[in-house]
Amino acid sequence: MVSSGAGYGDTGFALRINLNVSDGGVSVKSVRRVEMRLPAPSGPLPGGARSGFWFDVRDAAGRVIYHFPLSFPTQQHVESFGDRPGDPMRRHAGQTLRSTIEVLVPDSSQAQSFFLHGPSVQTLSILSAGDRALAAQTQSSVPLVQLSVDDLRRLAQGGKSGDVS
Amino acid sequence: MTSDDGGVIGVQKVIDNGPASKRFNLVILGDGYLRSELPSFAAHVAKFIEAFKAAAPFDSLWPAINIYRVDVVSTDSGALDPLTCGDQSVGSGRQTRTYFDSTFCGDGQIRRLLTCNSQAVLSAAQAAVPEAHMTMLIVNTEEYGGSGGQVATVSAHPSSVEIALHEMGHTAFGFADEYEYYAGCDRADAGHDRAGQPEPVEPNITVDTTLEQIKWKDVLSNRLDPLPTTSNPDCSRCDPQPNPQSDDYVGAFEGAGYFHCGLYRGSYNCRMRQLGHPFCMVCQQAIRQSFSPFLLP
Repeated sequence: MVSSGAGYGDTGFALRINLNVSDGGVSVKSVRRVEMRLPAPSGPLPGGARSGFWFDVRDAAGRVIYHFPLSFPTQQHVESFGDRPGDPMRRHAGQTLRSTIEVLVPDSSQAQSFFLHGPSVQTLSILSAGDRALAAQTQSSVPLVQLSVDDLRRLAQGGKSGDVS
Repeated sequence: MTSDDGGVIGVQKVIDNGPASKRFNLVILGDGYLRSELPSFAAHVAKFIEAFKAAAPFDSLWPAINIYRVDVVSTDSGALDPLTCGDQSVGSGRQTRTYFDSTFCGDGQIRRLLTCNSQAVLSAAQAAVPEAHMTMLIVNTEEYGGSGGQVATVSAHPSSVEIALHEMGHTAFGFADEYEYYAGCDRADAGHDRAGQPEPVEPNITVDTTLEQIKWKDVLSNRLDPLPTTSNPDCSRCDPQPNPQSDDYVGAFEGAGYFHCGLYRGSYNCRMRQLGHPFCMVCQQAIRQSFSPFLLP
């Protein structure tokens, strides 16, 4: 196990970040600074190879100070609930990768970098819908994008998305 | 969505436990309500709140939660319901113009998949409540249905509240599905026999059932009991064995995250596995931990 993310220095402000996801990668669509608290991480981030989508925020030393799992944000599959209450839920391969992900990250003085992790969207994009859904569950996740929190703050103040690296 | 299809009328803070900057803020919007039907929307929201408040652990976390109702009027009542759908079902063929474009058969394949223009819903929610953590849409139809994603979309059917709570588990807490199949236990489910994957990042499923490493070691019912609690004897299908423990027992039950084998859940049943059940202790503990900042003054 690695950092629990406890003590992320919640200042009472958050950055609401909208990301565009495409087979070309991940880019910032918009950032907004909001006075709000964030949910605490529900537990430690598992160590070693991991699957799934999540984001984390790291300090200057590269330590994870906040993290949160994201449940299939690109909607490589959709969930249905049957015809009647009590019917089993089921999953179905999505026809397209969804193009926008929204995350809330702490705007803390410790926060230096933001990472979004997940199965490679480039790989997912070239698979059939069914294979994509399966691959998303079985691949080790990789960093999809790394962003400077300082750049995100500047963007929240009216900078352009191209300013973020 | 165009302004011809309706508009946002206003926002009401219907559960007020403190400033939005300090609490978890749930924003509920409506779609497919005529102006004359806004009292029905208020009643639908009230009914959801009643069920939400009764659902553990939210009953004990209530002081952490604010709820906002955003009143939205649409040109037409209800939701679009195409005559044909990929699952061969037959709809009413109802054509509606609603503000958030709610429609059954939202992916063209599954009749009960009730979807909306989620980006428009998020924009309207955050314009009304910039501090929104979770956004939900109630669609003015009594037919059962819903969908997940960044907006939990549900119909006004009384049982759709279960869909909303399950989707909240995904969106607000990052929970994985705990069912062990993909298309269904009654259907061919190729590729879902054994997980053999890296550890999932979600807090409620795991590949590691060792006592020292299991994610929910702090809420195990009995640390002296062997792990896993159940093993699936036939990984080519769902495990049919009954629960060998009590409903609230926490251990490691094989079968979760769309795999018959190799992935484990904490309890035999859970709202993340089957609608109509409460959140299991593992999920409840994770929710309590997540909500801890919202209980501070």
